[in-house]
Amino acid sequence: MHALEARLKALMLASLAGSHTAYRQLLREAEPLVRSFLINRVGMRADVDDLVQEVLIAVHTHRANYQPEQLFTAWLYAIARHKLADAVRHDARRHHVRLEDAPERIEADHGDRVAARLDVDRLLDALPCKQRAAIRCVKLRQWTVADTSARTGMSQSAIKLSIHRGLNALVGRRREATAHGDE
Amino acid sequence: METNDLIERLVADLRPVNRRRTEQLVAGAMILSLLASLVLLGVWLGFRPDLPHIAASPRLWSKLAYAGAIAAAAAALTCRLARPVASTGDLWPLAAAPFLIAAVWAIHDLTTASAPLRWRLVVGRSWTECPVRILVLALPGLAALLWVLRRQAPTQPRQAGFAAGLAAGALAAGVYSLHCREDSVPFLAVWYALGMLASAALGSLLAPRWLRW
Repeated sequence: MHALEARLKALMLASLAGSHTAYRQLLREAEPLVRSFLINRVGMRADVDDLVQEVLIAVHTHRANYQPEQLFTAWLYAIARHKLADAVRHDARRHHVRLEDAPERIEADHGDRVAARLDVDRLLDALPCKQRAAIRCVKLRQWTVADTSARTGMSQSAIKLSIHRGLNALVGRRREATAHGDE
Repeated sequence: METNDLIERLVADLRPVNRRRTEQLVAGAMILSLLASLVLLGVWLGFRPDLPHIAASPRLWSKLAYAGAIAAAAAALTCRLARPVASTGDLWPLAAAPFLIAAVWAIHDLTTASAPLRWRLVVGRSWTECPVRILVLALPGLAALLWVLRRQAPTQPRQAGFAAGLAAGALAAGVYSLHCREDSVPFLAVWYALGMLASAALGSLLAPRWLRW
């Protein structure tokens, strides 16, 4: 464990200094660690691959946030724990609507939903075609990433990255829109 | 296979990063909110008229030191809690120390004061307004610090929000002391503290919703 920590920390520091080789090595070694961390905690989930990749993307996005005096493994697991908790919370919320309540909810929400759909279409139109397709298939039609990949011919990681970038762009646009709206 | 693909993309996307970004953003947010609160105070309540005369006196400086010490400790806590592994260490006691010192000092002042004066020392003339005004003056700072935290990776949102709220509240208390003519320590120990803690509570209430990443 100590040897692992020392090696990963050295790789992380080299990555932050700009070494692509070290960074590739780091992510490859981190990936199975994250995977077994997640499986140990909640057992095998259908979306464990997605979660692992989300953690790796978060590691990438927040890498500037790592401080050399911290244990790298502790930092990595803290991100994994956070992403896992988020996924579990999301599940809990989704299962909260019981079937017998559902028709009324849908009834009541119908008008809003149509309006929301139109908003979503307008927002998505502003994105590049790949990102738009990825978000539409996975987030709106709820296809799995594997299905989407099979049907569109994009690789799974390309789809994930497109979703990640597309959602970030949407959030950015939305913020700009609200900022202008406030003035 | 697929994950390797993602890894390659992330590797290709590797760029040099600024390692002190969190600290710089928090410092920037603090400075901006200090200016915003000063302008807000000037427009809304004005500065106390005897400010030039007491600028050098301990009556003003002790208030500023009280608020400043809490603001500094809470800002440092905000930086720590912006990271996934947050070692807050001995910073919470450091942030609490000014409150305790003020409380002990206040008790000392109250026990040595004459009975009819005691109540005056605590409630002053503006106890109903003080905490609310500090909370309002803290809002720009709270918004700025939560905005910064959102771009980082906090894993304990309640605690991070509390620290951000306390930093904003303490900054606001310092600014408010340029208006407020209450100089008794018991007043500061109760009502200023209440204003700062209200801002901290608001921060910890908003944070779980706002700090998603």
